[in-house]
Amino acid sequence: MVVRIARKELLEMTRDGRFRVAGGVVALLLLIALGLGWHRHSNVTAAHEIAIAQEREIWESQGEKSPHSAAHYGVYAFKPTGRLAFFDPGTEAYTGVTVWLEAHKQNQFLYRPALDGNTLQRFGELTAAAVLQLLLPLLIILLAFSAFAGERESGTLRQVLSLGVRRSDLAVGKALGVVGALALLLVPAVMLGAAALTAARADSPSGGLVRTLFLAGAYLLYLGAFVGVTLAVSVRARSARFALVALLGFWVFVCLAAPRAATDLAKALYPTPSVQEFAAALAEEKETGIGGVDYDDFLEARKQELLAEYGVDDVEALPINYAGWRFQVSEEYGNQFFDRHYARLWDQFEAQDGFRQKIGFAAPLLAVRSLSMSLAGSDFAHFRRFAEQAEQYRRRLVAFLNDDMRDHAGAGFSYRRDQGLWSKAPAFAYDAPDPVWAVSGQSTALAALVLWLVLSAVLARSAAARLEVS
Amino acid sequence: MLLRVMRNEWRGLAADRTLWAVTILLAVVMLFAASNGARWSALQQERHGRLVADQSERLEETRDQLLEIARGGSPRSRFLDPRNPAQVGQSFAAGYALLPPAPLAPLSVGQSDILPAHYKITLESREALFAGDELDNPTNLLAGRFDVAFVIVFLYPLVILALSYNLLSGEKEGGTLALALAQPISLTRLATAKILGCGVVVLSLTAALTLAATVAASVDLGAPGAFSSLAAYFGITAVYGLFWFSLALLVNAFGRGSATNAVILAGAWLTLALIVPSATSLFAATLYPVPSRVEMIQSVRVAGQEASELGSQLLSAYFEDHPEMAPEGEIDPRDYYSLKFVMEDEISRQIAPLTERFEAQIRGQQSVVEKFRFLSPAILAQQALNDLSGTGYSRFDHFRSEAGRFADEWKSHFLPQIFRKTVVTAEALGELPRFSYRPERPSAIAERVGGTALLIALSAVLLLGTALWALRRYPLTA
Repeated sequence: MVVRIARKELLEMTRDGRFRVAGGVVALLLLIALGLGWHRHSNVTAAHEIAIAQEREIWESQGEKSPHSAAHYGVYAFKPTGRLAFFDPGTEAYTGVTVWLEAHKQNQFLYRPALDGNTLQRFGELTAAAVLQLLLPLLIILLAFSAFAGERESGTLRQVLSLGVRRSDLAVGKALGVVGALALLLVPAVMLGAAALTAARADSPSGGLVRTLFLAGAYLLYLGAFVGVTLAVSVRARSARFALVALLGFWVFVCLAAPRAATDLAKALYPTPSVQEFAAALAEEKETGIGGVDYDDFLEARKQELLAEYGVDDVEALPINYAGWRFQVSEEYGNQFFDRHYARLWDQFEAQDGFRQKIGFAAPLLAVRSLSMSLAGSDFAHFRRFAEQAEQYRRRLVAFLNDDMRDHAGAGFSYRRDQGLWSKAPAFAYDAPDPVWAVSGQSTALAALVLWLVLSAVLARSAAARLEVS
Repeated sequence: MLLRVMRNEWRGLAADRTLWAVTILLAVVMLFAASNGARWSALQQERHGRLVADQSERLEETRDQLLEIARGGSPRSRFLDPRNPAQVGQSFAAGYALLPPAPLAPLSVGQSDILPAHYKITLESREALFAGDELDNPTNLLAGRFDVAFVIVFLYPLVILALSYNLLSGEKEGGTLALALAQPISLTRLATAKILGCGVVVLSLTAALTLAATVAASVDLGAPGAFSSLAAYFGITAVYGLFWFSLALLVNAFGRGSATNAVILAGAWLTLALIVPSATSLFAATLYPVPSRVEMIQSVRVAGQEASELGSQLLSAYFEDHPEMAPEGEIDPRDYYSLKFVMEDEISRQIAPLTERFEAQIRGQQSVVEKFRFLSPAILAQQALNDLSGTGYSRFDHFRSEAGRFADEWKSHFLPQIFRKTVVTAEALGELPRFSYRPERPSAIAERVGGTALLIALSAVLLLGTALWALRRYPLTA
């Protein structure tokens, strides 16, 4: 019986002009978004690969200088775009693409692509993820708002129930009908996406295919919740018109108002400094030191240790290059402050994102968006991981150069090296996280989505069980 | 008669729970939006104040140090000497270029969350000075803010549509339409009266709530230009509302059922407020793709290497081109600061074509936006509200060029001193260039906002005319 109801619903929907138009538009937008997303993504990836190779070449050919000058010259690290970012670019337009890794300083990332765009970007980007997050729920509402309310108005509900159809079968059948109609739209798009991913050899260590599967699961939960809510409202509503208006209101709250309200609330609850305040606080603490230990004290303590280690009482008598050693000490002194300040800032950003996940219990869009960006590797957590690895690399590189200077006693400040050393310096390789890492921070969002699906299904079922004929 | 229908419409609205629900909802979101805007604006102002204080404190300290040195003392730091003009321009006296917030800033966050309202001006190249930007969680920037402009551009049309989607279809379905038309009134007049009745209520409600939001956000209405900006803010809100009412009437004029009207209007709102803007943005970005900044960095690096290989040759070439900057007597080819700034000048010159390409592409994108903005009243309204609040793109763009002008002035003040190794004194600190923001011509903003208002009004009138024309063939019976 359920199958027969589902088939009837599906047939009716596909014959309905409204579904054809709306479904056609959504499918078209999805294709455009996927196509242009892929185009952008391959451009960025290509530019990125060229840049990495060029940057290494520039580094190695920097000519003869002291290793510490080379550390000042530094290298640029370029943030790769995730493989699934063509589907959901997430925060990529709003995070810098590169960072300069130089001696003594942990720099901010530069060049947010959004600043190189047009002002309309702030209306929201047309991405495949946005189509799934915003437009498909609307399509579901459009398909199903009159599922019960409409049949009740036209009197067919009484007829159907008089045939002895169980109310719960009717609900499940109608839900399956909507799901079938959505599948008509989504299956080709998913196959296209999967083909594109296979072409890009997505099954990398970062788990492209697993991430895709997780993504599909997250969206199924989200869209399933919308089917449930829509059917539940359709059962309860006095009229089809009322069901539609109520459901549109729900959509506006979930998809339009909640994400922006969450931003303002998150910023109020977890404030962050301006760029100048951040720099000033860092500089001030570096000046005064931690626990009253400023640079001079720090250096003196390390110097005493060093002298004791070599059993001498003057730096002149050391068998190492003291200048090189001291550069590294100053590096280590400064790193403490970067660790503290960046961690504090980024923890605050993550707290804001965590708060957004919690709002997912009220507005499931925030939950699915969080999960989607995370699985596509385009959320703040992925950015932070890259930034932290780049910073660890900076420290390794600078230490490598300072240590080389330290190990060449007697040369003092005038010590020079050339390509021989530069090409031996470690290169930066970003270790992209696996899918488990990506979802490990998303348990709240996942719980919110599961809860939404379960609650909406229970609601729809219990409402259908008490379905009133008139 | 017109008035009687309007009065009847009000009675109907007052009896309907929808209006009360909408009023309460709108009041809540407006006040929430106002408090968000006020918080953001206060924070920005506080930060500006701190920057100004920081700058004068730093200058005061430098002056003290210079006086101390003049009395025979020595610099406080081994590495930093306030007598060195390069170090004074780079750090001791480095000033801020600040964009003063406009009076209506709390009403629209606009681009102010991503475009900086202050730059620290040092002797670095323009590329370096303007490369940094505000520090915010990218997820916040992605989602955008809940400000008064958001309520007006996105939510207010929905309120209008929720109250007017069944303007005629509702009466028809309830059977009252035929009754009303039995009175001596034409359908066109009835429809006009109904829409006027509904419109007056919604517009005055929104105006009252916006005014309340303005007061709640403690906007200083006595500030120059504040009052006229607020009046224009109301004007934009009014014509924007008119557009949506006209659209609702037009859809009603087709004579479909209420549910169908609701679907069509929701689809129209979605298309105009969300899909057209993001599709236009995507279209502009595809037509004028901005090259990756990664390329720019590479070019700067390569230009830098070339410049450093030329080294002292660059210095003499520079003084041949700028004899007025040349020091008297011998040129020291190893002078660190002279070399540094001459090299930076050379790098800027080398990468100028690339910088120009970036800017041309961004301008290209913006021109697509300007050409197609009339496709969506939401784009027009958002731009106008941002302009009125002083948070639109053009004001930040103007500020950047102002800051650039000041950076040039700053540089040309210090460069000759650096080349000539002039010793900075306490008196010289009093003669530093100062940044003062020269605002855009008010008439430029008025023209832009006025043009936008006209465009929205024109499309509203067009819709209204079509609706009234279509009403002549309105099917009175289903």
